Amino acid sequence: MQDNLSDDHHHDPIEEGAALRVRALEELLIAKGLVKAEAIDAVVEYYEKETGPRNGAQVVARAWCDPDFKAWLLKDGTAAIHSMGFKGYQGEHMRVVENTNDTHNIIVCTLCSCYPWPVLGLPPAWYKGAAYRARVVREPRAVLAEFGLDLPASQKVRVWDSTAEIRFMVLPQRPPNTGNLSQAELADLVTRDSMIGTAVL
Amino acid sequence: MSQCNVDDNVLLQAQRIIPDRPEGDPLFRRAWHARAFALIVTLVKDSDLPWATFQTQLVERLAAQQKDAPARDPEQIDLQYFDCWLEAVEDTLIAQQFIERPEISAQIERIRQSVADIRHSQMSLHPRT
Repeated sequence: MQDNLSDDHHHDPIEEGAALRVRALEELLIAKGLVKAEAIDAVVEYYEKETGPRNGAQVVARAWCDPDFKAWLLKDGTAAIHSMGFKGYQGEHMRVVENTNDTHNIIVCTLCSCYPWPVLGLPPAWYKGAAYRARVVREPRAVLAEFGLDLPASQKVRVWDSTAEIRFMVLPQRPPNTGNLSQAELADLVTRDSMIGTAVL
Repeated sequence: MSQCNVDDNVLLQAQRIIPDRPEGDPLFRRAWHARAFALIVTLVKDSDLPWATFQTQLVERLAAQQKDAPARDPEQIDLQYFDCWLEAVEDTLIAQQFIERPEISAQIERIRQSVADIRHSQMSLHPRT
């Protein structure tokens, strides 16, 4: 049914395509008692405000300062990370891989975008993009070079493919000359990309 | 510059550059991205639906899109990604019999009608000149 809208009328986004479909799905699930609107709000708020790479940075800084914690983290990443209160969804099975002078690690999800949400938040666009997902397995050094990272030929590069069952996170090497920094100051040095493996510190 | 040259340049760039995005960019580029994301996360948390069931749908759509026209710049990647996400959500809900497809179009029509009713009542109160 056509209503008499003038030519200068701008449609509300809710009337259009995807936004409308999402609203319809949400309303149907709520009407059927399958989800609650407040629960959806809470999930959005959690991922927008409470999780993100700063969580992972705290884990990394603690591992640099506390050898026992580091050993635990590498042996049972899930438990060690949970012990710091980072327990959100998609963090049930996490494995932390350590960068050393001999080995540099990178994470990817070749199939879609599996990612350790509780410690890194949601993945950046390039992590979800076909170029990164396809190429990092085939030619990791070329991809790293495009991130500005040229690793010595002597350093082995290992690529870890996250899945729905297990999500990887990289423990970057502690930067040199940081012996006098506190754990909190060290956490400030840790970047998201260093925990993906596309950067070093 | 011809269209052909533009395309060649874009292609060359796309082959050489992995799209980047600074850490401070918005988490969700559209409000509905956040809702679609949270909808399936909430449903998996609050029901017996396994995450892998949804993920399988998502993987299929991403693979199909990758074959057709993979996006290169960060915004396009995000937009295409969430288009796939939404299709995967919808098909999961239907395949798992949470919702029947005709219900979706009926609900869309109800929302459209209610928006039209609200607008109509507002225009009656404040008629255009």
